[in-house]
Amino acid sequence: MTVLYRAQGLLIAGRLEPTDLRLKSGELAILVGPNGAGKTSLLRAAAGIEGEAEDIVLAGTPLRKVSPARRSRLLAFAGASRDVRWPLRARDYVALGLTSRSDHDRIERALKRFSAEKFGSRRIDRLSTGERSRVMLARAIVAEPNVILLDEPCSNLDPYWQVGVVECLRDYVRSGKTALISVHDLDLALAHADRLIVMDRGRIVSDAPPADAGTEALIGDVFSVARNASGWNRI
Amino acid sequence: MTMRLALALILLTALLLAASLAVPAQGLFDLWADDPDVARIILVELRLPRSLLALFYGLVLGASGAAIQALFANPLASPDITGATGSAALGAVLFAYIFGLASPFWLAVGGIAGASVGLSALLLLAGPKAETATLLLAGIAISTIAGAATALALALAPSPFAFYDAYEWLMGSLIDRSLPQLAFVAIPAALVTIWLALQGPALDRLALGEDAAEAMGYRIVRMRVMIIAATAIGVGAAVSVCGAVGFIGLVGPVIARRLVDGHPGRAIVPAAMIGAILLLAADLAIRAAPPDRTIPVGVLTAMIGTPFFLWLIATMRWRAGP
Repeated sequence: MTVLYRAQGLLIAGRLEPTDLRLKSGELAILVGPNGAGKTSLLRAAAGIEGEAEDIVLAGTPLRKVSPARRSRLLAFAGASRDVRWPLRARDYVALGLTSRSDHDRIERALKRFSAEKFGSRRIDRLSTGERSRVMLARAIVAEPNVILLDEPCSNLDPYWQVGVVECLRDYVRSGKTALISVHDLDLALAHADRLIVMDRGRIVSDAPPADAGTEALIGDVFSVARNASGWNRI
Repeated sequence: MTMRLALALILLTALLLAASLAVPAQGLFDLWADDPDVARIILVELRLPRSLLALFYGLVLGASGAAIQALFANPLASPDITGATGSAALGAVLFAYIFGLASPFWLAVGGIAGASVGLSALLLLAGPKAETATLLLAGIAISTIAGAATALALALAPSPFAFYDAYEWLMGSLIDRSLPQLAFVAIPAALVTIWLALQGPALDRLALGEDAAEAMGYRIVRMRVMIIAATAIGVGAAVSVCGAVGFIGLVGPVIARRLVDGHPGRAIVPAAMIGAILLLAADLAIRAAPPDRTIPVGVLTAMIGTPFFLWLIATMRWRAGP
């Protein structure tokens, strides 16, 4: 497995302690942690949006040296916000994820991945929040980037699509890509992650396959919850 | 923008430019038969600056309006509503006090400085992702203070004659400007319009949100400063020569976005051309006034633009629900 993404010393003062991150091809890494643990901060720092980094290397090239035209094929980021500013058609919105000439096949492929081709011609501000989420995810992967960083891709989605999105992303990384996503549903994360990264108070406290012994106990500690017959409960 | 649309806009602009040079035609034809030299002078030194001022001022207003709307993510932002033209006028008036009305260079510098201050104040007051209400309130505050300060400057003017001159100039007029004055509008306007058009792809990506655009490699903070500076240069220079012409920078981009499927960045070029078309048309329309009267073109654009502005607010409200 080749390393597609390598970052050293990701840091946002007050929110993210110095953190190193490596993402390998074919791997879906899921980020969990309580509110305020620094999941969004890590994703934003990893995408080079905020904070400092000693080094971010994408496919052998330092991030800061990659032009916008090439960057869209190497890295994509989508935040947790579902706000839209301009009433674009969903298909046109997805097309903005491409920096090269508009590529009809890629746009349709990205929409189909999230079954969003049905509302491709509708205005994005008139879609439901869940439908809009899927269009936004299609935008993030339309350029088929090596690395995708998604903040809460499953928020606002119904149960079918919460699982659907994670399965789509796992399917996507199997073609030699990699993804780091934050998720709140612990069972979803445990069931689908290749790697489970647990954050607490601005640091990564665990980074291991979810099946590893001790992962569940650690999660229980960090979130102050415990699993019993009725699911996760507060302790 | 499709080829057909581009051709239609170019054709319409060219047609209006030709009309602007030719109308009123009868007198010019008679004069041409009588004395071609005088006719040529009228055409080159009187009508040409007026027509080209309308063209370039309209271009820069349309392009700047589209860029500011894309930047603030709000279809109601425009150079006049955000207070940029008002503060440009104030800057030009203040510099006119210091350096005299006859110095177009210092007037242009004053206009640019004023517009820069106005737009920077707007960014500080309203923030980069301005809610409509905040944006409009900040714009009203800036316009009001700039207007009051301009009125104060005019009230303290040394002579009523100077007051009248400045008054007519501030109302937005393209008449009786010289070729050098034209250059002070046309050169910045052309450069700024071209530069803004090149920012189109980045401004379209800004529609995905600042984070997504930043992750795509666009430097949003730097882009914001540069666009405000460019807009201030283009609009400030034009206001220093022609005064404040309102609403073109609002109406042009709104129409343009309908022609390009709502893309805020892609709308810059058509918005510039529609701005030119609107100002050329408005300048032609005021020639219908009685021969011994002149109506400032800014008065006409405001009278047509205000109902449009209200309609825009109303439709935004209906769409947003109660």
